[in-house]
Amino acid sequence: MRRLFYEPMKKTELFVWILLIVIAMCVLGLRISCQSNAIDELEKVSSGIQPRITPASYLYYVSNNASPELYYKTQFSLIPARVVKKKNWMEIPADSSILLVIDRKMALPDTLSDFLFAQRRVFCADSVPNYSMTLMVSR
Amino acid sequence: MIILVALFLWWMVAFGGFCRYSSFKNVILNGVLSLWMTGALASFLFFFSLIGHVNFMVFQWSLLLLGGGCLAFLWRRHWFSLKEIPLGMGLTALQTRLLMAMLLVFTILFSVGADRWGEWDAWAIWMLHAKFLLFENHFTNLFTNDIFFTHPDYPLMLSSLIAFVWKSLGHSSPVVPLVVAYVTGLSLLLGMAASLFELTYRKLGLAIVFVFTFSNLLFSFSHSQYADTLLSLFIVCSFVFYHHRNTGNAALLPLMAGFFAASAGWVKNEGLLFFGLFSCFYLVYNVKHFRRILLYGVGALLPLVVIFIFKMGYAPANDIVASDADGYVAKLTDVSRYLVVGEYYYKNLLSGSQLLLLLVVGAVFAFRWYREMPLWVGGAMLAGYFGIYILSPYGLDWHLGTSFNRLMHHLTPFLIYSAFVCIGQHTNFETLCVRLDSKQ
Repeated sequence: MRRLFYEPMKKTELFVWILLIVIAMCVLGLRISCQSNAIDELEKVSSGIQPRITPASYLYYVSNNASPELYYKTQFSLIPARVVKKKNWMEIPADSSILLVIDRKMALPDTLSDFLFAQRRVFCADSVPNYSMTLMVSR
Repeated sequence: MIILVALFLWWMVAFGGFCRYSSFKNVILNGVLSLWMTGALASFLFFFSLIGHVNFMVFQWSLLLLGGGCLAFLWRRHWFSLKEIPLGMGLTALQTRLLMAMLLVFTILFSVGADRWGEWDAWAIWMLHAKFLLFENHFTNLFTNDIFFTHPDYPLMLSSLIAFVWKSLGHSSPVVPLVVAYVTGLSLLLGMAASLFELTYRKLGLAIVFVFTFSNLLFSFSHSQYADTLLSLFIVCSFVFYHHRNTGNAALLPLMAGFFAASAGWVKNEGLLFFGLFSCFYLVYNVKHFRRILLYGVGALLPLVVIFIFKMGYAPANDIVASDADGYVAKLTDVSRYLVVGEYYYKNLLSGSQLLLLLVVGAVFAFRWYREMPLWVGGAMLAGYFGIYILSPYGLDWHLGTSFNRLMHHLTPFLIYSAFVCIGQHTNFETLCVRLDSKQ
């Protein structure tokens, strides 16, 4: 190899610049690895639910947290199953799978407690400090 | 990691092809274009492997062996020579240092702004689609309006690239979309700069890196990990082939222009609008060059086939397309909608894109830029987006507020890049800078 680069900058200097860029990228990677996100928590809690559902499952989403963010993140954590949100819990067909996601930072409304009390059977449940997930069958 | 090695081998094959046939001397330009051609082809192949239910193990080993074989064959045919690899940029030592310093600043700023799993649409749309694509037997679960919030009709370029690497790693790491976003942003910067270097507008090339590194033109989107920067990159690449049409390989350039323009439609639905408009103007501007048009069409064929199969066979109907005909008529005849969209355009174009406006107005008046294709494509895209807003099934304020800045992000890089090319063509900018340097 005679000359790898015949630009005016020396080869070593060019590699130092590239090294600096790589170091900046590594710092970014490290920072991202240390960050925490609700997605990670939901992925952790859903790992207890995943073995009990089939990939083709439709799970009807019920939660005490009305924000779409939690719903979307729940769907993210349970792929390839589909998590469907009905406008009203009463619209959920009988004998379907219900996925109850509780945001532990929020209170459980009485209407939701009553609805849950009326359901037929709990399959499995799992929880992490901020969230819990319960799989049940609707009546 | 097999798939990453396979991708690297194919990138090198494509790079060898570009170095040999594109007649671009600039290694970085060849590197960026060949990287994204490989990325797009890998995405198409991955989609075909999914719909064909090909085992991923078989898929990645086939890619690796074929890539290795191809590279070895080309090596024996002396396509590559490690004796001399000129960067081919013609920069001075100071200019190279400046460029590297700006790239370092870009990397640091990207690192500071980036978040785990990106911003809302990044995880709710692109990464969510990528996660569905990990399941070769159940990826079709994505294509239902039961989970309409994730826009299952959106094309799969970014998602498939992320899924590709996730599958190879064996888990869905948030670092992968981040690296894809970084490489996309960096490629956009380097692609525009390297093209200007290739056209010998070296100071303008450095200036464009400066403009995009030290402004929010790129940053508000690049580290969000959305697909918009990828779309901007494919649009810019299409224009790179357009701007080099008189200096590069007469056969390869139209072919690649067609490929990149059509591939933009595999990144986002807005890319389909771009492809339609770009193709119309390409036809008009090359009406006397039948061979060029033919090659452009051949280049666009594969991406169009992939998009057609996806849209016809898998994706649910787009929310705008699915609206009823009566609704269209009512919206088209509603003057208040035109006023709302017009006012929003007026306010945001004036307040949000001063640099772009300055360049466009300056280039139009000083250099008669209105004769050039990019300005017409940009204008037509703005008009197309205007029409889509009029027909939008969503609340206008919400739709404009959440998407207008993204649409501008699709237009801004290629318009600024094309304006810089125009300035380079019509002024003696390089000589002017030399004179200023010597006076100091």
